[in-house]
Amino acid sequence: MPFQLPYECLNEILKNLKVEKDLRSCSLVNHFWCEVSIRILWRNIHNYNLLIGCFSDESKEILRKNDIIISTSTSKPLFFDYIKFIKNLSVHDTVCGVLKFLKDQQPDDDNKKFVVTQEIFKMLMGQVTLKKLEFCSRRFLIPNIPITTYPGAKDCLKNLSEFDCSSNIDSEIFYQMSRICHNIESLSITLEDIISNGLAELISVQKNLKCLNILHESSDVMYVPPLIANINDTVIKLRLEGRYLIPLSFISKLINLQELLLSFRFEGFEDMEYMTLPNLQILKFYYNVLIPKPLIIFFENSGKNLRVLDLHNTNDNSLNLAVAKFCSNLRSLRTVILDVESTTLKVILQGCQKLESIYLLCGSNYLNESILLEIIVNDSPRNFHELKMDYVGGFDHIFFQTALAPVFRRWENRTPKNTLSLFIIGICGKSIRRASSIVIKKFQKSGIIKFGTINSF
Amino acid sequence: MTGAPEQRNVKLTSSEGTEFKVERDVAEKSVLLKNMLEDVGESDMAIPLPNVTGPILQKVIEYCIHHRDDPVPAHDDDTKKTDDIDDWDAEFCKVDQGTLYELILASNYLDIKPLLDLTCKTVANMIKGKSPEEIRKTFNIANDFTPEEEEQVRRENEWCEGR
Repeated sequence: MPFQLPYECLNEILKNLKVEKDLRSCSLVNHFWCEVSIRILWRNIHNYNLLIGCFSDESKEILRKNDIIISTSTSKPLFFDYIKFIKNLSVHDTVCGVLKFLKDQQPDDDNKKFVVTQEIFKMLMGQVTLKKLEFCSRRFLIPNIPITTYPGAKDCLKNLSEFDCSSNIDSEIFYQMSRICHNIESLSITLEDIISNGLAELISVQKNLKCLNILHESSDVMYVPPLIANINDTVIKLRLEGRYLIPLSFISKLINLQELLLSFRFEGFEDMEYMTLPNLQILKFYYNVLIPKPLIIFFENSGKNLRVLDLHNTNDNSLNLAVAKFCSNLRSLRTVILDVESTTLKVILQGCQKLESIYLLCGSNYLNESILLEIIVNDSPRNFHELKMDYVGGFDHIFFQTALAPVFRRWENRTPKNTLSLFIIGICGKSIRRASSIVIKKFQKSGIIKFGTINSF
Repeated sequence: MTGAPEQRNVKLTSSEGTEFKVERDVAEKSVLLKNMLEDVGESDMAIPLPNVTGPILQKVIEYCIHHRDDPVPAHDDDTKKTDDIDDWDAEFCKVDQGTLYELILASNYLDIKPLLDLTCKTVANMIKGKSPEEIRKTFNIANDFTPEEEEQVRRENEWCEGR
């Protein structure tokens, strides 16, 4: 049966191909596949020689006047108007592409770099409709490029849905973009020492913002609240990252927030005590939480709908007990339980009856593997199927050599019959696999378990 | 089936006229059906699905029942990976190519994004690493390029060779 799908379905399939060579193979299958795959392949600019070859006569003349030589070998029309397919633009990547193009023509000449880059932007602003723009000035190798001033910029930028910028790009660009771009769904901002005027306005005019990432690189955190004071409550995913904790109180107004990712070292997250986020489903900390009390109160107010909770390596029994009490709908949990507090694990498994996956530290003074597996087999809820054991210290050889099979047999007798995915994280993984290879192979073959090792997580 | 006992069933009719009864939350995994049910309100009338055959509708319902408690995807994630298909889903997709193709069409028509993503990822995995000729052979596709056209496309995109 010939494989014929409508355009949109083949497009959905080929969007999954992340290796350009695969898309290129698809482009050579037939005309239909070519049409679909080339549009995906050319969402980003890759071939700057081809791009510059498409310059208008006026742009070519400007290059010539600046002693920049371009190849004139393309006498035959191109198979596609590739430029029209460009949807994603990175200022940094473009400058790097220009440097490569100029590699034999004094690439260190700032004027040449600027001229070629400017002509590229001029051409693109007049011909494409961008979905994604990355504009981080700290990575610049040349001065700011006034992209919003080129003819066609309004049409080019009006449908922008993803914008990645640094806070110190020219104020005028932010102001112009505030007037043009109202449908940005994903905004990533790197906050530098300079916050250009206009950024707060750009944030406040977004009526459909769903995803906000803020990377905060400065020690001065007080200018952050005014910047995001007028953010819309449409945001459903928020990631905050930096060396110094920024005031989190603004999060309270994001009542539709579903996902909150916090990456700050050595912090207590005191502001969380006063937040209620009724729709929050995913909460992840990338470093330990130093003070448990605000988080316990947060769980009491907003833990009910949490499905994924990652407490990194936070070690606090009262926090674990609060999880068991207030986060009854969890599917996935990462936490730390000490060996002497192993009953807490039972309490969590009892309180979180929808739990499917847990990530725990093992070895040293953390949970002993024998007790851990025993509790998982006997007390985990019916849909539980994944255990990640992150070894901090050594492992118990004798247990893995002699006592693993009976544990797996008891898992086999559970109802319903779920395959248990067992992941060992850390340098012990290979040794554990060796110590119990016959048992692992036997139970893997019969579908009772899956076994994997991960070097670091 | 499990679920809230007071839930009303929804009747669906496949292209051959076979009737299927499903609980409303299962039917609402389809954005098309969810919108129709919201527009129509309470009704005993079966919803005709002329583009979906009985066996395919059966498979789609099986998928929706299994994933009935899954959260609604928060946003369209462009960073999706093709190697994160879970065991149940992988087993679900072990079907012949024709069925897979019809599942893609049905999930596209019924607007069930997670099922469309799953089936498309499965096909994408069948493409990875293959040459154009191997892709044609896998999916029984005729090459309608002239040698000159094929050469031109190859030449204009040779920059991504080896990436």
